Order: sequence, then C-alpha cells, then structure tokens
Amino acid sequence: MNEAQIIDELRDKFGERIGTPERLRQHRIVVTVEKENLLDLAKFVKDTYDLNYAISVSGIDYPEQNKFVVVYHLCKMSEEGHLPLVLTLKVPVNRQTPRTPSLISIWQSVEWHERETWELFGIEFEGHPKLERLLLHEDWDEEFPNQFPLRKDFLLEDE
Amino acid sequence: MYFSVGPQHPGSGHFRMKITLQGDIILNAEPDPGFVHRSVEKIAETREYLQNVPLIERQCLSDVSSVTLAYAMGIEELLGIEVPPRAQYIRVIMCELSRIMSHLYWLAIFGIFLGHSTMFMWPFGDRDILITETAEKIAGARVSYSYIIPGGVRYDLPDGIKEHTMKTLDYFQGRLKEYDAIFFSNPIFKRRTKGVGVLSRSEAIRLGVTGPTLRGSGVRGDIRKDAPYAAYDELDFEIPVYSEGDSYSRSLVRFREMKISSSIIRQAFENLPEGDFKVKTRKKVPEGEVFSRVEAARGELACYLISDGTRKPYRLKMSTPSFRNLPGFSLMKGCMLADMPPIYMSLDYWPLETDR
Repeated sequence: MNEAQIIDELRDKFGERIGTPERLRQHRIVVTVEKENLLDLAKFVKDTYDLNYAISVSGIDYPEQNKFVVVYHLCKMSEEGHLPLVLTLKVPVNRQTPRTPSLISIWQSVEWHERETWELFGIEFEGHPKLERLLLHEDWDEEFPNQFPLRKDFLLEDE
Repeated sequence: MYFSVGPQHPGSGHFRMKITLQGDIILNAEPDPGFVHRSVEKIAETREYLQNVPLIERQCLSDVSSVTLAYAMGIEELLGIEVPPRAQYIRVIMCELSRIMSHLYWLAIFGIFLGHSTMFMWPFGDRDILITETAEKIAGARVSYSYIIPGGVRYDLPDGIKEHTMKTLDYFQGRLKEYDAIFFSNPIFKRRTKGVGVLSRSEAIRLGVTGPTLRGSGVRGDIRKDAPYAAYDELDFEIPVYSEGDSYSRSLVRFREMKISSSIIRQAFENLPEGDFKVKTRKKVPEGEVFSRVEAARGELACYLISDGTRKPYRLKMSTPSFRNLPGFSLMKGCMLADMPPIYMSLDYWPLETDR
C-alpha cells in the first residue's frame, strides 16, 4: 500500500468533499473532513485499505477559530502485526453546537475514547450508546456545571 | 446480585469493577476508572516541555521509561534533531529494564491474587534488589527517574555498570527458571488460567486491545518490530505469540518477554557505541503536530503532541495501553466469580495509566 497512491485515490474519490490529504512524514497521512462526509470517508478507508484498528481519539480546542477538532488515528492490524502507516482523520466541530457522528458503528474500539472526549471536551457523539461520566467525579456537574476541563477556557488555579 | 470490586486498591491502584452476579456466574462486569485521575493532559499544557517529563511519567509508575520516551521522541521529531546512537542504546536498556520491572510487579500481584504468597514475595524482592538497583545506579533514582529527556538521556552510564548489570541478569535468569517451576508450570495455576477468559484473534483486533493481551490472542503486534524506534532495529529479538487467547497464554507472553528483555539488554551493552549521550535542544518547539508510538510494558503507547511554536505544548494526548485494554473486561461475562482474579490480572490493567 503506497502512501502517494492513497493520497491520490482519496483525492479522486472524494474531491471537494474532503480537505487535501497531506503527508506529514513517512507513514503519517492527515485528512481533514467535515462531519457530513465523515461516515462515508470512514467506511471507505476501512473497506479499501482495511484500516481495522483505531489507536486513539483526541479532541483539540481552538477558541479563536471557534472550533473543536476531533482527531481519529487509524492503522491496520493483521496477524503479522501493525502496518506502520497511521491515517489521521480530523473533524472540525462547531464550538457552539459541538456535535459529530460517532464512528462506533465502524470501529468498536473508539467506544471508550469517544466517551472520554465527550466528558473532557463536551463534544456530543451522535449514536454513541453510552455517554456517561468516565474519569471525572460523579458530582462534577453540580460543582462545575457546563464546564469541561480540557477546553482552553477552563483555567487551572495557578494559571 | 450487584456488588463492587474496589475502589480501594483491588491490585494495582484505585479502581472499581461493577459486577452483576447470578448465582456464581458473572452476568456483567463494567470497569469504572477515574479514581486516580490527575488531569496530566491539562497540567501539561501549562508547563514547559522539559518540566512535563517528571509529570507525564507519573501516569505509569511501574513503566516510566516508555512513557517519557514517546514524549521525547515527539519533541525531537518536531525539533528535527537526531539523537546520538549511544543515547538510543541507553534508552533501549532503560526501556527493557522498566519492562522487566513492570512484569515483575504484575507477576507478584498475580501470585497474591491466586493465593500464592511465595510468588508475591519473590518477584517483589527481585524487583527491588536487582532491577530497581540497576536503574538507580544508571539514573540516580529507583522508580521515577526522569532519565529520558528530549535530546537523549540525562547522564552517561556510570563506570562498571555493564559488569553489574550482566551479573544481575545472570542471577535473574536463574530466578526465571524458579518462577517457572513454582508458578507457570504449577498445575493449579494452569487449571485456574487455561481456557479462562478466551479472546479470539478477530475479537482482539475489533476491540482494539494491545500489548501482551493482543499477542496472547495470536496477533504478532509489537511496535518495537513493526515501526522500530530507538535502536530496536539493530538488535535481534523475537516476539512471543500464543494463539489460545486465554489467561494462560497472556501470562506466558509476559513471562517470556522478561527473558527476551534480558537478552535485549545484554545485546545493547555488547553493541553500545561510544559518543555523546545527548544533544542540545531548544526550549521553543516549532509549530506542528506529531504522533509517536512506542511499545510500553502493557502495549502500544501513543503520544499525540501539538505545538503552537511556544515553550509549552498546545495539546498533549497520551493514548495509553491500559485505557485501550478496557474493553477486555467484557471477557468476564459468563465466567465464574472465581475466574475474575485471573482474568483481571491477565489483562495487566494499571488504573493510573488509564486515568492519567
């Protein structure tokens, strides 16, 4: 599986519907995709390149640009081990209405990662079966209503 | 019947399992992490890159080298610096030492979980006297040594450390045989773990588990071989894989890894190059993002680092192996309550690492 081929194929297949795929360095490809096209792209990369293994889901907060970015890191796992290629999907999410489709129907392994991102960033994953408190205390909502610790406007005491 | 296991330290840190029982059969086992959440990722955004090294290694105190190595590799990639070969070899030595430390800790707790108190005493004794002492001689502290920093390692190896380590490893080889005799070949241990908590190969990949849990299910997934870092591509070692997928094969993977780690340390000392042990780095890291992966004791550890060109990280996400092994708790469903301790231990779950 050639990295330049993947980039060309994604560009041909999705054209304007995704941002230009970018090769950061060897084995790292980054694709930005709006949430409307996310499920299509996710299904395509899973079926075509057999990226069957989700490594992590992260959130990033960009308050100046009024957006969150949800980042999926995907790779291929076979009997013989990992393929070194990591495909990164970046999904921009509006900061006022943070909602994005959950990819749990495609990768079961994102379940706990999405739950963590929901909790710490307040990003709603549509279709996720269980968005409940995971790492924070269960009384968090009473003490800090509508506050999410990994957002940039949540300040620590010594900041 | 519903009851909690934990949260007061069920074996390796504060953590709770919510168990639903019918008779002696577990209907549902749900992990409930978060009791030791220290918001490492948030605090990391308020500190400088070098100050974060002691912070992030606290997320997994039994295996500190791999965590700091993933972080250091990320920064080095952003800075575009090459780490000297001697430092790469020293990093391998430290990572394997800390893998042995972590597996010995696991083995001791496994022993006490199954009521085998000798197996609790021996590995803890060996870990404290042999392995942490070697780490102390090299890095100056027993457990949390903050030794691997961006650009290399903090100090060069001390005089006479090669002989000391070789002597330690010789003794450790003998101990491994004794562990095998009293524990891994013990018919009671076999009966309690064989065929218990079976995870098939396809299910292991679907759930996204990693490390020995994955390799116990017949998948040869190890970052040290698949995407080599540090000096691993210059060393000769094998990856133990067992295809049964039960608690026994997951345990054997870790047992054999201790032996293989010893051989990696020997090779690294034999081939240790001369030269610098670190290079100068800058405090400001250029803008960009990096995703670095290492194979920690419990599995793949990935560090996603985003820099905005200042002295502090904009975002640091650690995707830790224990967090990714959380779905493995579903293996307890349908098992008997007495099977819970062996399944729990065979996953080598470390709450501190999950909660961060």
